[in-house]
Amino acid sequence: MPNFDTGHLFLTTLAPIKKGTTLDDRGVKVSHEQKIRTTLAILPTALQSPATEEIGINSPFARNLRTHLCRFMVLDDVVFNGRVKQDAIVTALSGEDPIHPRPVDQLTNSFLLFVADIDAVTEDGAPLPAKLSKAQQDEVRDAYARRLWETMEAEICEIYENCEGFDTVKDADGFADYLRRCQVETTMPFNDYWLNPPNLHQLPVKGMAAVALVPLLVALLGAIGWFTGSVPLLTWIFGWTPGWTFAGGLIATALTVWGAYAYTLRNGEKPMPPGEYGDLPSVLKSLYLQQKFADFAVRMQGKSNAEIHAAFGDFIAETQPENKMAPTQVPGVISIQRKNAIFEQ
Amino acid sequence: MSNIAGKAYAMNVVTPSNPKITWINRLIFMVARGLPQTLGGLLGLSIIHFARWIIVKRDQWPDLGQGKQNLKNDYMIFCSNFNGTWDQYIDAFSDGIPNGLNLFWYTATKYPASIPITPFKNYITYNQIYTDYYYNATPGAAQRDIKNGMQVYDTLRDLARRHSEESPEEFAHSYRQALLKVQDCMGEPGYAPVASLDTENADINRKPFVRRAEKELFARPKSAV
Repeated sequence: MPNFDTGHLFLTTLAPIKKGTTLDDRGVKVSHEQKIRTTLAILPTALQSPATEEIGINSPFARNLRTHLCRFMVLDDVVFNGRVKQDAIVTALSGEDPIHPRPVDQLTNSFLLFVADIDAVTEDGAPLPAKLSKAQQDEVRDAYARRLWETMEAEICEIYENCEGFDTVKDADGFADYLRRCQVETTMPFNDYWLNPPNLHQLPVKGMAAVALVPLLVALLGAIGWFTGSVPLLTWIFGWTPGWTFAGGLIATALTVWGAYAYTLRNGEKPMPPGEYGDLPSVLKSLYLQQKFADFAVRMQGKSNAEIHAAFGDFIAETQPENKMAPTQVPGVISIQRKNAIFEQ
Repeated sequence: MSNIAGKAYAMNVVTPSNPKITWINRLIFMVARGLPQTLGGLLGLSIIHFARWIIVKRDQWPDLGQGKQNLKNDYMIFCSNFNGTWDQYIDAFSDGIPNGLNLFWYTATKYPASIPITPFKNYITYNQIYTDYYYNATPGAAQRDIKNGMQVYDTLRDLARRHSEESPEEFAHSYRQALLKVQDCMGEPGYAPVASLDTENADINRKPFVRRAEKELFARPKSAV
C-alpha cells in the first residue's frame, strides 16, 4: 500500500459529486458541480503573489502544520483518446463494420479529486515515521481529517455538501469516515526531500533471475530428453523421465516467476525512508534559518573572530535551531520578510 | 482555477488503460522503486516536490450511494507538483528520462512515447485536467530552495554545537568553513515569475469575492449555524 512513503501520507480521495441543481449564495440555481467550482474559486489561496498578498487572507490549509501541498480538481468525466486502431485483416475476419462506433467510457457522475501531500503524523510537529502499519496509516488519515475539520469546517462543508454521502457528516469523526470511504490507493508515490541519497530497498535482480533459471533449465533438459530418449544427467542420477522432467520444470518455472512477481510488488511497496528534515515544520524552519543566516553572513563580513563568536551566540539564541516549531516561517507565505510571516512561540 | 501556487505547478493527467494489462504498469512502478538507478533520473531532475501515479481500476471508483461506474478501462491519474513552466517540465522529462516516461505510461492507451516531443506534448495537453484549487505551504521556494534550506539548517545545528565547545578562534574557522560549504544554499525566497497576465488579473479580480466569502460563507462552522 504505497499511500505511505518517505514519512508522508500521499492521500488521494475521489468524492462523487451530486447530480442535479442547488442554489448558490446569491440564490441562483446552479449545478452542484458548478457550485463546487465556484466555491473553490473563492477559497483563499496561500499568500503567494502580489495580488493574493493584497487580498491578505491566507489559505485555510495554512492553519495546520501537516499539509505541504494539496489540490482539488473536478473530474467531470474520464478522458477519451479516440478510437483504438484495429488491424484491417482482423476486422475483416471478425465481420465487424468499422462504421459503427465502439463504446466510450463515461462516468455516471462527476468526481471531486482531493490530493494532499501530508506529514504522516497524528500531531503537528511529530517526527516522521519510517514505518506504519495499514491501521496506523488509517489513523494518520483520520487524524488529518479531524484536524481539517477543526480548522476549516465551514470551508469543508461548503465544498463537500455538493458531494454524495456527505449529508450525514456532522462532526470531525464523520468527516474522517467520509474521507476513508472516498480514498483510493496511491500506486506510485514520489518525494525527494533527502539531503543524502537514501538506502532504498534494492531488488536482487540477478539473484531472482538465477533462481528462475534453474527450473527453466530443468524444463529445457526435459525437452531435450524427448528427442534423445533420456534426460542428460538427471535420468542417470535420479532416473527422471523426459515428460515428467519437462512438465515439472515448466510448473516450477511458472511458480518461480509468480513468486518473483509477488516479491517485486512487496519489495516496491516497502516505504522509502523519511528525510531528516522532510516534515513541514522542519521545511519551514529550514527556510526561516536560510534567510536569517544569509543576513547574518552579510553582517559578519570583516568581523573579528571574537565578534563572530559573540554574534553567533546571539544568533542561535534568537533563531533556536534546535526548536523546529518556533521561531519559524508560517505556512503559506513567500518569505519571512512579509507581514506576520514569523511564528514566535 | 489555477494550476499555479507560487513556484509550484499542479499537473493532473488522466490516461485510460486496458484492464488486461494494467498490472504490468503496477509491476513497472514497483520494479522502479526497487532499482535506485531507474529512480535516479527522476531524482536528478530536482524540480519535483511531490508526485504520484494512481491506478484506479474500473471497479474501484468510490460508490457512496450514487451507483457503480460501468467502465471498459482502468484509469491512471498522474499528479505532480513541480517548479517551472509546463513546457520546461515536459521538456525536462522528455530529455532527461525519455524511457522512464515510456515505462511509467507503458499501458496508457494511444500513448505516443516521449520522443518525438510534439505528439507527446499534444497527448499531455489532451489528457490534462486543470486544477480548481491549489495550496502550497512554501510558495516562495522551489524544491531546490527547500533542499538548500535543509542544508543550511543541518550546517547551523552543527555550528551551534561547535559554538559551545570551541574557542572564538576555532569557532571562527569552523564558521568560515561552514559558510564556504553552504554559500550556494543561501537563495532568497521570492515570487515566482508571473506565468501569465490572465493569472495575475484573475487574482486581482477575485479580491472582492474572496473577502466577501471570508466574511459570509466561511465565517462560521456549519455545526454552529
